[in-house]
Amino acid sequence: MTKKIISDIFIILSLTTNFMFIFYPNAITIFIALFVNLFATIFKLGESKFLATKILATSFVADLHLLPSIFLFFLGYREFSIALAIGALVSNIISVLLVIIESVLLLFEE
Amino acid sequence: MKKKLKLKLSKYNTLLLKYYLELFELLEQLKIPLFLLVFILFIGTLGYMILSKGDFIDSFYMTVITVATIGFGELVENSDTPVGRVFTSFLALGGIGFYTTSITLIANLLFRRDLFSLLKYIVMLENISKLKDHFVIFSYNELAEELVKVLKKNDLKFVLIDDNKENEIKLAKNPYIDYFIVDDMFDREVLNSVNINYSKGAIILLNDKIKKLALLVTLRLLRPNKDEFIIYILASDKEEEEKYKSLGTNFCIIPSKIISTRIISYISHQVYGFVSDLLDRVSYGEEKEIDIIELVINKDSILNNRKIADTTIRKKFKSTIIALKRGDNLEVSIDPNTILQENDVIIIFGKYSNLKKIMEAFLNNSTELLNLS
Repeated sequence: MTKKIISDIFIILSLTTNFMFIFYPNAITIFIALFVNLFATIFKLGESKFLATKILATSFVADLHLLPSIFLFFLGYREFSIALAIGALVSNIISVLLVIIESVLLLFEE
Repeated sequence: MKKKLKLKLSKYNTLLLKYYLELFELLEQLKIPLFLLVFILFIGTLGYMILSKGDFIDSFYMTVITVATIGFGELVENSDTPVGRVFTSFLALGGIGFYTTSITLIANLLFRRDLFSLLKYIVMLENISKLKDHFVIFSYNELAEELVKVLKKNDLKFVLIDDNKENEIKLAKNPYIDYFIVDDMFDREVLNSVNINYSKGAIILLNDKIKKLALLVTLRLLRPNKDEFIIYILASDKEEEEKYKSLGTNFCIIPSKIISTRIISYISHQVYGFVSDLLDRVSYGEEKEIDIIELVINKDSILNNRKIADTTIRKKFKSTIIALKRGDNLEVSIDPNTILQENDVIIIFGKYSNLKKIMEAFLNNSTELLNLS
C-alpha cells in the first residue's frame, strides 16, 4: 500500500511539475519536471497489477519527451522544448487518468 | 465487475503468466539500482546548477564525469570555490559507490537473467496462444528434425514440446522451428498453453511406451472427438498398434514396416531405381518440382458434366490426369471423351507450379480450366 501511495504521488507530481514548466518555463522547472518523471517511471517498474504496465508505458513516453526537451531548452531552442513538454503533459494526463481508473477497479475488486 | 476482471486475467495461460511474473520480478529488481543512479545524477546536477546559477548541461556533465571517476576537472562555474570543492568531494565519496554499485547490479540483472531471451520466449508463447489448426509434436529427436522440415515446406503450423532442458538451445537454433516449449508435456497447463483445444492434431514421436500411452490417454481426454483432433503415433509392432488404436489414435505408423516395404520396392524394381519409389516420393512431398493433386468434382464445379478433352489441364497447365476415381473404381486408362460427373475424383500429375495454378483456378471455379473455343 505504501508503495502504491509513493508511486501515485510521483505520477501526480510529474503531471503538476510538467504543467509548471509549460506555465513558467525556466531552468529549475524543467529540471524538476524531468527528474520527477524519471522517479515516477522507476517506482512503477515491476508492478503487474491491472493497468500498471499501461501507466509505466505512458510515464516512459513522458520521459522520452522530457529528456530531449531539457537539452533543447538549454541549447536555446525554447519553443521546441516547450512543444515537447506539451507532448509529455498529454502523456502524463493519460497516466493520471489510468491511475484513477485503476483505483476505481481495485475498489470494486475489494 | 469482478467477473470481468477475472476473465481479463484468464486470457493469459498459466505458462505465459509464469514468464510474465518472471519478467516483472526482473523489472522490480532493477528498481533500486536505477533509483540510485537517477538519485545521484539528480543530487549532483542540482548542486552544480545551484552553484552555477542554472547551467544544466555543464552541471550534468560535471556530475557524470565525477561519479564515473573520469574527473576532467572543475568545468562548472564556481565549482573551484571552497563550497564547490566541498560539494564535489562529498559527491565523489557517495556518488562513485552508488554509481558503480547500480551499474554492476543493472548489468548483472540484464545479462545473468538474460532479459532478451525472456522477452523472446514471452513473444513466442503469446504467438502460440493465438495459433489455430496447428499440430503439436511431442518430443524432439532425429525423426522430429526431419518432420519439421517437411511441415515447414508444406506451410503447416506446429508447436514442438520437449521435456529435456538440454534440447532448448538446439530447438532455438533450428531454423525450421518457429514455436517450441521445453516443459513437462504431461502437464495440462502446458498442453493448454500450446492451445491444444484449437489444434488440428498431435504427432507423438516419443520412444518410451509408457509415456506414449499416458500422453495418448491425456490427449484423448482433452479432445475426445477423433474427427476434430487427429493423433499420429509411432508403434514398434502390430500388437502395439492395436493397443493404440483401441485407445483412440487415428493413424499408427510402424517405421520398420515402411522401411521394409521400401527395400522390397527397390529390390523388385532394380532396373528402374528412379521409378520404384517415384510415386511414394511424390505423394510424400519429397520431390521438389513434381507433385500430385486430387480434385473432387462437386455439383457446382465448372468441370461437372464436361469432357476431359474440353479441359485445359494438359494444354494450358501442362499437367496430366493420370487417374479417375468414380465410386470404388480407379480408372488409370483415361479416355479423353469421358464426361466428368459429380463426386468424381481426378488425380493430376505435373509440375508443382502448374498444379498450384490448377488448384487456384479450381477453387475459384474459373473458366480458365475449360477450352471454350
